[in-house]
Amino acid sequence: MVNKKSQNSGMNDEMLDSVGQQAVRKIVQALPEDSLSMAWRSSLNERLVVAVAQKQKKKRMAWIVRPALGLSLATVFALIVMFQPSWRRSMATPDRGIESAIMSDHHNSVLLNDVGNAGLNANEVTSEANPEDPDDDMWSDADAQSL
Amino acid sequence: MRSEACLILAFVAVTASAQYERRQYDKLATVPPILRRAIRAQPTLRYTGTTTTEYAQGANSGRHQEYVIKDGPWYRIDFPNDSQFAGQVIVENNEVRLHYHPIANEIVQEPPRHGEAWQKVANLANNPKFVLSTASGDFIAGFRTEQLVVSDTSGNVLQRLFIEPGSGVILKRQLFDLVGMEKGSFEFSKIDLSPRIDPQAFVLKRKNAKVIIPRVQLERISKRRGFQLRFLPPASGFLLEGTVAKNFAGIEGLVETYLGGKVRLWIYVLKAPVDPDRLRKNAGKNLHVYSYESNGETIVLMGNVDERTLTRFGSMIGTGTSPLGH
Repeated sequence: MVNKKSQNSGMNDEMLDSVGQQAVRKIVQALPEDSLSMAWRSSLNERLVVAVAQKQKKKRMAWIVRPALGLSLATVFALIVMFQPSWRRSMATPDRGIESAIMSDHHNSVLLNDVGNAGLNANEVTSEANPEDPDDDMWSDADAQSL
Repeated sequence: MRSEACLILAFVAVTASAQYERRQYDKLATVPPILRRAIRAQPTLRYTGTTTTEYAQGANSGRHQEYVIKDGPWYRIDFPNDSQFAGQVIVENNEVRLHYHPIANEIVQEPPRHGEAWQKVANLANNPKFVLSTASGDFIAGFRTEQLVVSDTSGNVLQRLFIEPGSGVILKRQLFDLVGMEKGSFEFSKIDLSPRIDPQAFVLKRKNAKVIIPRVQLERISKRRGFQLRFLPPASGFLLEGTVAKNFAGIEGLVETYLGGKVRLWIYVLKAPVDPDRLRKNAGKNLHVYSYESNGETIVLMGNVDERTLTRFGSMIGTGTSPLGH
């Protein structure tokens, strides 16, 4: 086991000392060394400060505008629900004369109740109020008289 | 101890009853004597006669004759053979109104209502909106009458009552619209003030006739016309009197009429929406209206009851699909 490890490290050393590896090492060592410019760093900081300030300003505006917008929308909605503009109502129930027909029927009914005393009332005068299913087994007065 | 308590209770009851009678008496103290005579005679009047009822309002008008028998609280009404109501018989007392329909061979059992018309006459006596005056009246059905004229405070005549002074029976009543045209009337053409009345006249005997209640009528009409069954329960204090199907400007509807003591209530059920504001505008000051929509039908409650009560009644209106006869 120990022998296998020592054999592997010997092979790695050989590879590192190879000609190709030596050439790559020379190229890397020949590269120029960059140093960070202080002026660039300063300008970066200034740009960052401006960007942060703008972002905070937008955040503050949004904090005011968003609730105001929501409140305005809610107010408009509430006004629509409460006052129901006439266009909406007229679309929902166009005047087909139903209301005046109902009131006319009602006045007529009251009148008949007033003058009718114990007699027929408005419902009873209307033929539809009478039962419509005749009893076929029944004898009428006319039947009795014809016997 | 118990007998003393009973005595005290009896004394309180008698005193309260006397107070009530006194108040009723006081109410009539200031009205013209002929109206007082008519109101006091009403509960005990006995007669047989023939009346003609007429009404005309807008495009609606009608006229029919009735044969009337009255014996105190009992009424019987029949119709001439050539009448569209021939064969129908109505019998009524203070507790019930029975209406026999020969075609269906049914007797409809309804709440009594002749008291309602009398209450309206009695109300004339104490309403400051009306001015009452008297004049000599026409000869009606062979009897001389005294005339009671009901006007508004500006002198516009609203009603004329022609009363036979000996008996107190109202032989003719006319109602006028705001511009003086007669819009309705009833009048006796014949009357017998000393009749022989067979008590059997007030008994409806028809062995195979079915006795039904107005609720069954409502169920039938609702089913036939495709309406949901909607009704105001008796817990409201109002009893269903009758239902009729009608068309309102081409829209199918049902009209249910209810009676609560002397107060009447109407429920209209329609297969189209209505405009509540337009209804209120047409209703005037004394009539209140409440409407709502439910499952494609519009329900309109109407009556001389405040709108809050109508709204409460609206929430009480039940629906159901119970089969006929249940």
